[in-house]
Amino acid sequence: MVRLALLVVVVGLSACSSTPTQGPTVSPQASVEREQLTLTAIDEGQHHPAVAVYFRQAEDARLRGRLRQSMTYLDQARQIQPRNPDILYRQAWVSVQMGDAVQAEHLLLRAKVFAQGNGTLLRRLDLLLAESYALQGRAQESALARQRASGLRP
Amino acid sequence: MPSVKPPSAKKKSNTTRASKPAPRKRPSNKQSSVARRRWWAWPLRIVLLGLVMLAVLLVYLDAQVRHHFDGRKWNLPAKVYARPLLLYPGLALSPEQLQAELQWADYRAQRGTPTPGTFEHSNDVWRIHRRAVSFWDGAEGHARITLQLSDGVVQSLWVGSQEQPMVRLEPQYIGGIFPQHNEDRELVTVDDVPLELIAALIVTEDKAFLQHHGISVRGIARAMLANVQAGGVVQGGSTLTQQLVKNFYLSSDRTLIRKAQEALMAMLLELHYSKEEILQAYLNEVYLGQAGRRSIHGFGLAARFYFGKSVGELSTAEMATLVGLVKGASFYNPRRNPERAKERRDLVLSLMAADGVISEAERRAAQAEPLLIADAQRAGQREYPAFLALAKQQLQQDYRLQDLQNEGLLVFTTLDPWLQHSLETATQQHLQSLERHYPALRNELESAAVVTSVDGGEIRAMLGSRRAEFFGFNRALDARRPLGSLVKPAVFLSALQSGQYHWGSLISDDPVDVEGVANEVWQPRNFDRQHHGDVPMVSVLARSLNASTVRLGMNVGLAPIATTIQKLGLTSSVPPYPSLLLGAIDVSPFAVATFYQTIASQGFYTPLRAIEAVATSDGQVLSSYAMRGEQRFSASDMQWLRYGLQEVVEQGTAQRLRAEMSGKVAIKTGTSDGQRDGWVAGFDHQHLAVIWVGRDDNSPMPFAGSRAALPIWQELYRRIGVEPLPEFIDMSWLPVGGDGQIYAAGCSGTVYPFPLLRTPSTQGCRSTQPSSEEKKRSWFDWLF
Repeated sequence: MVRLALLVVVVGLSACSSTPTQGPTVSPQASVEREQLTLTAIDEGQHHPAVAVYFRQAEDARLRGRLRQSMTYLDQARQIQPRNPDILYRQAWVSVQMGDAVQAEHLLLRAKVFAQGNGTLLRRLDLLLAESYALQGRAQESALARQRASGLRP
Repeated sequence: MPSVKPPSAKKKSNTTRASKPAPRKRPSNKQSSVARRRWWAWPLRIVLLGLVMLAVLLVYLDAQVRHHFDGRKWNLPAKVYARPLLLYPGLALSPEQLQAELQWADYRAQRGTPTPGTFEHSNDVWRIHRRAVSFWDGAEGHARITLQLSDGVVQSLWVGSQEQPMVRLEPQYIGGIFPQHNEDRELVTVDDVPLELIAALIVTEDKAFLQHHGISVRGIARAMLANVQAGGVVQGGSTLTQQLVKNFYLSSDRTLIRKAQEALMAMLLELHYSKEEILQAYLNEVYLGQAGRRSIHGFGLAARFYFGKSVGELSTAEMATLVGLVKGASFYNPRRNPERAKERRDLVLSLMAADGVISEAERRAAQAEPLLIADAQRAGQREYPAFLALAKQQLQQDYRLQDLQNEGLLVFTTLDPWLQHSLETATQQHLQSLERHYPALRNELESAAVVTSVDGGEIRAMLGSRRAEFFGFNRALDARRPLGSLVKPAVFLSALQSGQYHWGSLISDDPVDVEGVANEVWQPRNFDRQHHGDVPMVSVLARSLNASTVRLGMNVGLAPIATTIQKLGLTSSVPPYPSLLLGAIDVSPFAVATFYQTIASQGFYTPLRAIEAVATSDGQVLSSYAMRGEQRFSASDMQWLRYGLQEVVEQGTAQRLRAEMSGKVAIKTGTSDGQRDGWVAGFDHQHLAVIWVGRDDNSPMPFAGSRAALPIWQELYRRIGVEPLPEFIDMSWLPVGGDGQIYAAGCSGTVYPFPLLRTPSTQGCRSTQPSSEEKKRSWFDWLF
C-alpha cells in the first residue's frame, strides 16, 4: 500500500516536474527543405530561354539596387508567359524587397491559381505569402500560410 | 582791371537771363562761332544718344542671342513609342505581321540588307538589318538579324553568327506630347548630316556662308543676279545666319526694323559662335513641313517624315528635295505639289553640280529619279490620338505636363501596332458595310474600342473615333453611354455567389412589374417582345433576357449587385435602382474594359495600363512600370461565371461566332434602351476587346448590339487569331433535371459546372431538395 502510495507520488511528481519542454526541433532535412523553398536569386532554375534572359537582367538590376527596374524586367518576362507562376513568384519576391507586401500578396494569390498541381511551387508561394502577411501584421494568416508551406494541413 | 576768362556759353546765357536785357548788338566773330557750335551740338547729341542707344540695344540683343543659344535651344516633345516586337523561338508570328511591322517602322525591302533599316526574306528566312535603337532600358547598336519563320512560329533567331534566345525590333513611333505650336524635331549633329546635304544647302541658300560675318552684301548681290538670270526668285538674300536668327528669335513680320534687328543679331551670333555651331542649329531649326497638327522642323525629322530614313541614309536626289523645301515648305511640298517640288529639286541639283558638289553624271542620274516620297499616312509617321490621350493622362500621374512637352523624354508604351491596325480595319470595314445597308446612316455611326491583354491589363489598341487619326472627342475615354446588357454578368455573378443559384436553376421569364420610388411601375421587356416561361439561368444570360434577369436581380438584391459591379472595377457611383439590372449606368468604353478585365483575369482587378517605361533623351530610365492589381473574386467563381459567357456563343446572342471560332471564347453583347448603343465585350485566352457603336446625337440605330458591334469583334479576332480559353479547373460537372434539380453524376439531365468548393451534395438521381423555382420564391415574388 505504502509502495503504491510512493509510486503514485513519484509518478505525480515526475508528471509535474518542470523539465524544460522543447519546441519542435528543426531537423536538418527540414532545414534543407526550407532552403529549397526560399529563392536566393531571380535567375535560378531552368526557364524558357527568353524568360531566362529577362530573369538575368532582373537579377542584375536587383543586385544594383534598382528594384523597380528589376520588377519591369520581370513584367516583360510575364508578358511572354503571362500565366507562368514562377514569374509571378519572382515579382512577389521583389515586391517584398521593395516593401510592398500588399502587392506581393496579390501576386502570390494569382500565382497560386496557375500553380495548381505543382506542390513544391505551391509551398514556396505559401512560404512567401506567410512572409508578406507577417509584414502586414496579419499574424494568423501568416501562420496558416506557413503551415501550408510546411506541408501540414492548416 | 584783372583779366577775366570768357564765361561758357551756358553760363553766359544764364547770366544774360539773370541780368537786365542788354541792348541788341551785332554779333561779333566769337559769338557767331559759339552759335555755330550750338547748331552742331544738337545733332551731335542726337548721334551720341543714338550711339548710346545702339550700344544698349546691342548689349540687350547680345544677351538675348547668347542666352538663347547657350541654353537649351528647343523644347523637345516627349516621343511616344509602341511596344517593340519581341522575337524569340516559339513565338507565334505571321509573315504578314512581321512584314507590316517592319514597314511601319520604315524598314525597306532591299536585297542584301546593305544598310540599317533594310530587310529581305526568301521562303522562311528573314534577314533584318536593325537600326541602332533606344529601348527603355538602354540603347542597342544596329544588328543583322536572321530569323527562321515557318508554320507561323519563329523557329530560330540569330544575330550575326550567334544564335539568340531573344531579340527586340525597333519600336514604332506613335506620336508626341508637343509643346505650344506642336513643333517637332529629331535633333542631329553636323556629323550626322552628309556633307553633300550641307554643301547643297550652302550653294542654294548662302554661297558665302563660310566667309561672311552674319550678313553678306556679296550674297545679296549674287542672289539678285541669280534671280535675274533665272527670271524669278531662286535665291534669297538672307544668309543662313540671318534665316536662323529670324526663325530662332524674331517674328516673321516683314518690317525694316525687324530686318535691321535680324542683321545685328546675325552679326552678334557670328561673333560668339563658330560656323559649325550655327550650321548645326540651322539644320535643326528650319521649318520643313506640316503633318496634321505637327510641324516638321529640321533635316533629321524631315528625312524621317518624307522618306522614312535617317538623314544619313538619304540619296542625293532626296537631299536636294529637302534643301528645296527650305525656300517654302508648303509651296514646294512634294506630296501636294510634286511637279513644283521636282522642279525645285532639279534646280538644287543643278546648283550642286555647278559648284562641283556633285559631278554632271551624278546630277543627270539624280534628276532622272522620280520624286519618291513615303506615304504621310503610313503607320510610322501618323499618330494614334486615342491611345496618346490615355498615355498622356497616365503619364501625368507621375510627370508635369511641361516636362512631357519640353524635355524630349522617350515614352515606351504597351500599344501593339498590329492589333491596332486590325482593330481600325475591322471597324472601318464593318461601319462602311452597315452604311451600305442603311444609307441614311452614312457618316452617322461612330465607334470606340479598347483592347487589352487579359492577364496584365496592358492596353494593346484603342479607338476614340472611327476616324482613327481624329484628335477631337475621345469616345473611348470621355463618352458616357448606358452600359445596357453588358452589366448582366454582375447580376449573374451575384446570383451564383449567393449560394442559391446555379447555371441550371430555372428562372421565370414571365412579365414582371417593378415598382419604383415614386410608385411608377417599370415593366422591363425582352428584345423580342415575348416571354419564354421558365428558362435555365444560363440561357437567361446567353439570350440576354430582360424580364428574367430583372426577376433574378430583384431576388438576389440590388445592394449586393451594386457592390459586385463596383468590385469588378466600375468606380463611378452605382445607385441601387432596379433599372441598374439592365445597365442604366452611363460609362465609358474604357470603364467597361476595366470591368470585364476583372472577369477575364480570373477575379484579379487590374488597372489598365498604357505605359511601360519613361527614359530621358539620352537613355536614362526615369521610371518603369509593371502589372499591379488585387484579387477581388475567387478564380473558381470567375470560371463559373465564364461558363455562362461562353454559352453566349453556344446558344445566345453571339451564335454567329460558332461557325468561325475553333475554340471557346467568352462574350457578352449589349444594346441600350431604344437601340442607341451597341456593345460587345469578349475575350479569349489572350486579349479582351470592348467595342461600342452608336451615334453622337444619341439617336436610335436600326439594329442591336449583336449586329452593330459584334461583327467588329469577330473580324478583329479573325485577324489577330484566337487563343481559345482553357478547360475549367477545379470544377465538377453535375446533371440538372428539367426542373432545375441537381442530380448525382451519371444521372440524366443537362450537365452544368460547379466549383468544387460549391458543389452541392446530391442523393442519387432523385433529389429531395426543393425545386429552384420553389426556392427562389422570395419576398420579391411574394409581392407580384
